[in-house]
Amino acid sequence: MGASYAIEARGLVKKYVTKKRFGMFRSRTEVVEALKGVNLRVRYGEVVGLLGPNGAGKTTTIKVLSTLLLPDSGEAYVCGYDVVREAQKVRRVIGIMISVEKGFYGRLTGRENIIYFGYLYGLEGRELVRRASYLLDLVGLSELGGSDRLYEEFSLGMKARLALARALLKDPPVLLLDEPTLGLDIPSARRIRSLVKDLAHREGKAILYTSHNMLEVEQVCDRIVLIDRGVVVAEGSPDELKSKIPSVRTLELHLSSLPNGVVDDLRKLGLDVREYGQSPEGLYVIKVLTRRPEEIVDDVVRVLSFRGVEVSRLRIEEPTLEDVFMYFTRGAEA
Amino acid sequence: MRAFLGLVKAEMLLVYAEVFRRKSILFMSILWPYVMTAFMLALGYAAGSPEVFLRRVGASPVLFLATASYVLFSTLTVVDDVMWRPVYDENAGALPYIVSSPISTVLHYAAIPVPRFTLSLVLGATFLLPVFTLQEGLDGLLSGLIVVAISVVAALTFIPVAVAVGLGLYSLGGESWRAINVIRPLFLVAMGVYYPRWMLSKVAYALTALLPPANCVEVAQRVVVGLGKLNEVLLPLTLAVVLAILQMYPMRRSARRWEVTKLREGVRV
Repeated sequence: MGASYAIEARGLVKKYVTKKRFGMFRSRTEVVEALKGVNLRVRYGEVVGLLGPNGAGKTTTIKVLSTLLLPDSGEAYVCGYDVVREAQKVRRVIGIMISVEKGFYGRLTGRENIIYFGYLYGLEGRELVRRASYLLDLVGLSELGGSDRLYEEFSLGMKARLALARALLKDPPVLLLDEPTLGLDIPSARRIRSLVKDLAHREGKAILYTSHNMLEVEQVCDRIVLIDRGVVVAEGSPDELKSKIPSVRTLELHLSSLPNGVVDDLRKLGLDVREYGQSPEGLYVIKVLTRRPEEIVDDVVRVLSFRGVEVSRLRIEEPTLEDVFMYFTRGAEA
Repeated sequence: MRAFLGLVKAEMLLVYAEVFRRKSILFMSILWPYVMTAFMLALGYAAGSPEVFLRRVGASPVLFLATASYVLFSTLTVVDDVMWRPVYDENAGALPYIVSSPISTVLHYAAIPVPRFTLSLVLGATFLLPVFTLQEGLDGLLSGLIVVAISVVAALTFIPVAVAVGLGLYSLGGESWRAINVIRPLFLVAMGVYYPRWMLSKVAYALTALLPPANCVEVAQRVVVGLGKLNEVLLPLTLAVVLAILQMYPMRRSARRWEVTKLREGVRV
């Protein structure tokens, strides 16, 4: 197995067996298939976003790759090392960030926590102290006064920064980041996003990144893997993914008024028209879903003029990553 | 060895933060041996006289119970540190980062209790040595120092069995680890801290001898009572060390089993 890919997973399967209790003595065993043959590849110098609804298998995938969970079948390699048979070697080449709100000891300061984990990761002496200071500066914790403050006094943003610093302790070639900006304030989230991009594009690290924030994923990730119910349903760059969905675009109109019957008149033209209430400026918003908005604009404007409705604003919306997400995942059923 | 020392340094950071940044814990750590001895003495005086104790056991109740409290205080930290640690790490959310670190679980768990029992031994000595010196002068100071040295061996030889039982319970899954609450007092009884084990029946004596620190406790008690012939001291101490070495095998097995159990069900984030 060569290491042409920093991360490579083939046919990963994981089932969780849980016991559901009924009263004191009765219970039933339930099997939840978290992964049903996940395939995944991440190159060096690339940020890959793992996107999917809750329960899709994102965290399970990250756990398998970070040697925190044994798969039932399938293979996964990190820097060419098998995550099951060579777990110790994998642990030397990964940095992980799972759940930003905890993961450190409350009575230790930011610096002491980093030094504690540094010892666990085999660093020591002056090298460890220097590395800790460098990382605390890099993630911006020093400037926030977090280096010498107790972890239990940290804000969520500071906790996330410290978690990223720990992930970078060994300067690993592979980073596995599970929702690293969840619940963060804007400056902290921006700092982390910018660091992640730099680490991949300047330092050549391979980064697997999960998030629910579509805008963030579009900004940070070079490629996206969409996962749903334990299966990869689509993958590609954000633009490639957008081009894969049936190109339903939206013609958005802001109107001065919306007399009764106008929407029905438009629907009589065979258009899919949806009302969106009033904008903050008091204008009525309607959206027309169509494959070719350019071809229907004239007809729509003619009907509106005939009914004496003034069009204050008109724009054509391209599909977003959110549309892609909704199309490929269970979100579409919601 | 270098890796082990690194881990001990890491654990020292935690103990420092836990004890010295919580004044109440520091205060209790210093006070605990005094409170325990006072309690045991009060109980003893209520039940009988010091003369009866001296006649039956052959040692001053003050020295005997001070020694008992000291050994108990220092060795129990090993049990507490090792057995509760997985829960502590899981609650802190640190467990995934520890499991995914390249260190060996056995080495880590061997290092975990070292800083705290060292601190306990030092803090306890500030209570034990003056008591011995006041009671028996310079000879007493020497006996006290021997008790301190024996307690070091007791704490160290307790590590393999504590890890084996603790991680063994966690690897059974579910809520099995709660049995620690029962195991802990059982250890106390088996160690024979508050009674001379040589007064037990032969079967009970042999069974409790399987617990390495129990042999060390016996040696400490013999030193206090003055039955400290060389073979009576060396034999149980050797037995304790040999048992601890033998118990490293189940310790490794338990650690491995715990890790595999955790990885099968997934380390909780």
